[in-house]
Amino acid sequence: MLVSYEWLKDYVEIDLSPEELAEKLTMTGIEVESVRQLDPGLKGVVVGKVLSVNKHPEADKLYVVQVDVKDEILDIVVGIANYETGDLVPVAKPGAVLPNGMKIKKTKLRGVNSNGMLCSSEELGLELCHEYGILVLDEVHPVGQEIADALGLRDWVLELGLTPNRSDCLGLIGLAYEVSAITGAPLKLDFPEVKEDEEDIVEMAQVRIIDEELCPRYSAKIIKNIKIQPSPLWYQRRLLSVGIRPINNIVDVTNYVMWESGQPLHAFDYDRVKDSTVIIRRAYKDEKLITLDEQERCLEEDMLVIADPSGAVALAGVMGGLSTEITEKTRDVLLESANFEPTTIRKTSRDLGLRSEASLRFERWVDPNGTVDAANRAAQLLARLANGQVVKGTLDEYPAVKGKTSVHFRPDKARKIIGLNLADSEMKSIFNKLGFSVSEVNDNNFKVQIPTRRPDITREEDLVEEVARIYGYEHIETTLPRGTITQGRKTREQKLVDMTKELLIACGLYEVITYSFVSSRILNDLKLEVNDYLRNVVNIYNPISEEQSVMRTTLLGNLLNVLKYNVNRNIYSQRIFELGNVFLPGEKSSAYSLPEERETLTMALMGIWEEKNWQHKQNPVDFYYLKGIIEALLGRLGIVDYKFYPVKYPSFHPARAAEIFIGEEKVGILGEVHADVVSRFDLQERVYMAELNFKTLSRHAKMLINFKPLPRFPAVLRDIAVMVKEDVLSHDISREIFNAGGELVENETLFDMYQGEQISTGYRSLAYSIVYRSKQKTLTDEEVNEVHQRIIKSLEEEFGAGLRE
Amino acid sequence: MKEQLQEIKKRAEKEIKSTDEFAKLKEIQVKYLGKKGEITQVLRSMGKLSKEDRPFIGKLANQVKDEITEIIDKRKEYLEDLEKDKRYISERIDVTLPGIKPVISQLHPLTLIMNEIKEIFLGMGFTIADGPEIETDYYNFEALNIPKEHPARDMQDSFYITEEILLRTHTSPVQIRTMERVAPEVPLRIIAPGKVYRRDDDATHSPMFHQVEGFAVDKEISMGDLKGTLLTFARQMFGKDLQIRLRPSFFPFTEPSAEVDISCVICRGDGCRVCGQTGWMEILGAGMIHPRVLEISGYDPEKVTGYAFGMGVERIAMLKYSMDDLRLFFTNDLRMLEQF
Repeated sequence: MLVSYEWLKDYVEIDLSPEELAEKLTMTGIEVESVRQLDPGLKGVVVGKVLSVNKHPEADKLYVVQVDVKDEILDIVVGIANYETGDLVPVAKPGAVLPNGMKIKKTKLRGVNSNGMLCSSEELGLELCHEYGILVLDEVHPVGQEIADALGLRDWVLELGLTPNRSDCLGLIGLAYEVSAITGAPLKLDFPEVKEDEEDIVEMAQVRIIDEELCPRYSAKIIKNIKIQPSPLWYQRRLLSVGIRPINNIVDVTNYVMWESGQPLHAFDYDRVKDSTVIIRRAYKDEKLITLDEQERCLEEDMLVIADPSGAVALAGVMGGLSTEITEKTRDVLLESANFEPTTIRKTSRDLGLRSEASLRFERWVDPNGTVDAANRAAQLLARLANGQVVKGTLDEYPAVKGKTSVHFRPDKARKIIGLNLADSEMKSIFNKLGFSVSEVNDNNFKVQIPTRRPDITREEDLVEEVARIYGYEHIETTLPRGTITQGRKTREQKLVDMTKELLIACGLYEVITYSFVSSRILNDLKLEVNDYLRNVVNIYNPISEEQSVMRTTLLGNLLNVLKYNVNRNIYSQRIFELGNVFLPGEKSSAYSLPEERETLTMALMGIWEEKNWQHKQNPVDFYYLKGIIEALLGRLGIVDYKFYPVKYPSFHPARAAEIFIGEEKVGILGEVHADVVSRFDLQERVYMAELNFKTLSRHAKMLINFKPLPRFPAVLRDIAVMVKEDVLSHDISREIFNAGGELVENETLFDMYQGEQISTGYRSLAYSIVYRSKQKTLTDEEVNEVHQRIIKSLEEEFGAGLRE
Repeated sequence: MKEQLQEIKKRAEKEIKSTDEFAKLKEIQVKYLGKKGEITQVLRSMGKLSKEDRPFIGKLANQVKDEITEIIDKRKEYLEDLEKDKRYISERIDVTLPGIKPVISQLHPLTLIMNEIKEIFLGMGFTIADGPEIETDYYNFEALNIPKEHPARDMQDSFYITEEILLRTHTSPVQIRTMERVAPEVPLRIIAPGKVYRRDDDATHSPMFHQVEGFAVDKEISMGDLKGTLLTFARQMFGKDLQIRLRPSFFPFTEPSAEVDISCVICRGDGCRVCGQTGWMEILGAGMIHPRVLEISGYDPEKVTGYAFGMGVERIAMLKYSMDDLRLFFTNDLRMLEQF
């Protein structure tokens, strides 16, 4: 909502500067988003009086005009003469610069000196409606006065960012009430009375509301014998200052009164309303209406129309119809000032994609008790600006009169909620300033009457807010909650998330955060099987684009896209993870069942592990780097009984992927990403990824740390190197070492793996370092030898392992 | 004999001090102090002396012997030091060569900010709650006093899954879920951080972003308490000398409602480009929980009151880190992530 500072001053005596007013409004709840000084940039353009108009001696199409600009008389050569001696016109004196950048200089045109320029409204940078040619001023102004002052162009425009509850401030009068309440400035709301003719409106037209729910009130007046012409300039200029283009006096008056009162109005050509009967009803199914913008609209039954017996003539509260439009030929005007139910207006305007200043107001809420005042005000202005005759009386259908409401208010409650020690009398005075009367007062209980212009006030808390904001939030004392002390702490799950992220940071992985919605194509790019449950997605009904149309079921694609984004910026080595939700449809037992949100941890590595340096060569990352991180994480979370099994999954390299189990429960997958997938994400290098179900992980996590005493007896170290077939899995050998060795085996570490020369094809050599230790005593060589031999023998038996010296 | 000893000492000293090699030093030691060395010779020839002179010369000879030993030791030490120095110099490195970078990383900046927010509120006795990102219309709107067709629904264009289910547009549903679960027990002091979704995409809006909801319900919670809580938060987050200001505003789920500004973190209130010359920056919305919302969640608004606030994490991160494009957070550009 744009507000002209000067225009607003018509209704309330403001003694604050525009900036001060803006600050005050903002701090009491009407946010002023900007204060703009209208700078017409018309220095040196003044009011001039035409003294004579003569033909140019040397040119047929030019005139030499003599104008009085107070301190001198100027001869100016002009190309048009739509003015007469005695007219007042804008004169740009030599030295003036017009808004379009034109500099006015003394020149000679065909031998005659020209000392300035007469201006059209366009040349002044204004969109005023007037006859073609030079702007002839329509009121008396002192000769020599700056044109900006004469036309009242020095003004400030306040842009209000109104919250949806303050529809009362969509009109200047409503805003004036607010200004008066917050500044104490007196209101000026005395409007000229409308003079009416003898003829009674009842004999000229009738109004029938069919749908009273959607149209609580319909008021109408008729103004006869109007003359359509441009509005006076001061009037046009006011409309322009708030961004409304002047059209003609009829349209301008309806806009002017809407801006003033907040009540939208519509003017019909009386003669074109069939049988002079206005019917307010729902549209028929597929009823057609050509609106003012010459579009044919197909209507629905839940839309409200203004109709005559022949059919719809306007979309109620949204836009008028072409058939009853005001034209040059219009003589008599039927002026509508009605009230419509917000929901249907919002729906209609949304469904048809039609937004107007009228629909914007009706959508919010317009006071039904304001229709007649607005109609009278418009009638009075039309009588003045269009020489119309106002027909006696008003047609006014108002089946259910909405009266003032009253709300109970307890000053004690207000003091408690606000935390403010404000006396009852002060609160009462705040209500009076707002124009609310406090009718019944007993101990700690007011009855406050709310005028219908403030529909946002329906219960006690609304009044509490009025007290708080008018008194000023800045005066509320700063305190901290008292009462029972509460303890802030994180839940087990929250701590596990923190621990996990901390460990992954310690491992050198950057955390990323990606969108929860993805393209459905991503699942194809991951080569998922047709029947993979990850293909069962939650769809967004109204996505912004296909790229963000389904909720993610895996983070693999998201992280691959991050790798791709960074590779495109020449960053080839990346270590990243994301911990976030994936969304699975879940069981749909009712319309209110929510999808399953599963917290998921996904990691990706590519390139080299360390940053390049001058000292040593860097290792490329591989499967085991990522596996090591996962093992470190499992260790940190206190999980010990985990295993990795080879697995085939379409997104991964068929021979380089493993499923991760905790006990018997699958927790995730790890592997080298399939070359096809890698290339579908425009990547060239090998990529290693893992995805774990974080819910499962946290369920198995053990947060209690149980310290084991440090060993009291020394350990004995023995190495063993065995040759086994390639397909014997490392973890099976480890398990056998523990099994065969028994409790004396404290630990084993694989420290070498070798294939190649001296090893038969299809075999590999694995070298383990075994730590033997007893809790009771220092082990002797013989004791260790015995166990060690047992292990060797058992490896031979189990895996056909050959000892390698 | 005395003169002879003095002369030996002088000669030895000279020889020792002109020696630069350990082997030579050994030779000198043998030459003077060895079994056949000159001092030994002197001591052996002491038999020729008178009984009176013997102790005196014997003492002197031993003294000279000790003195030469000391000189040799000192020279030895000196030569050792010389040798070490030589080795050290040969081991010189260029200390200006770049260090070998450890493999390090960092949390996402939004996580860092959320962690900071959590820490501050944990310290004030708040606990942390979570809620689903996909919500029912009821929890996202209805229970927050935003019925269907309410104009406030225009303020946030939402992503729908079905007519009844949508991506939550704010973290406020967690407030309802928590109150429903706990009511009528008090006190309640909760923050709820998380992802939220709105149909907007430009430099200042992302279709997915993060919010932290906070609220307190107790027998006597006032707007003054809200002001105090937010001032404490703002000062811990942005600096001790910071001011806050509350402006009346409108949210369907709070009454009275407020927009909360902090004094501009760039110009400290003087007015600059970032704060639009106002000296203030809007950081969050807040208010006293609407009695209808309390009722819906199972509290008696006559017995308890509460406040609630909601802040945009990206907005706070952008202020704190002087960033101007919100979408950058979700590109996960490593050159951005590495800066935190």
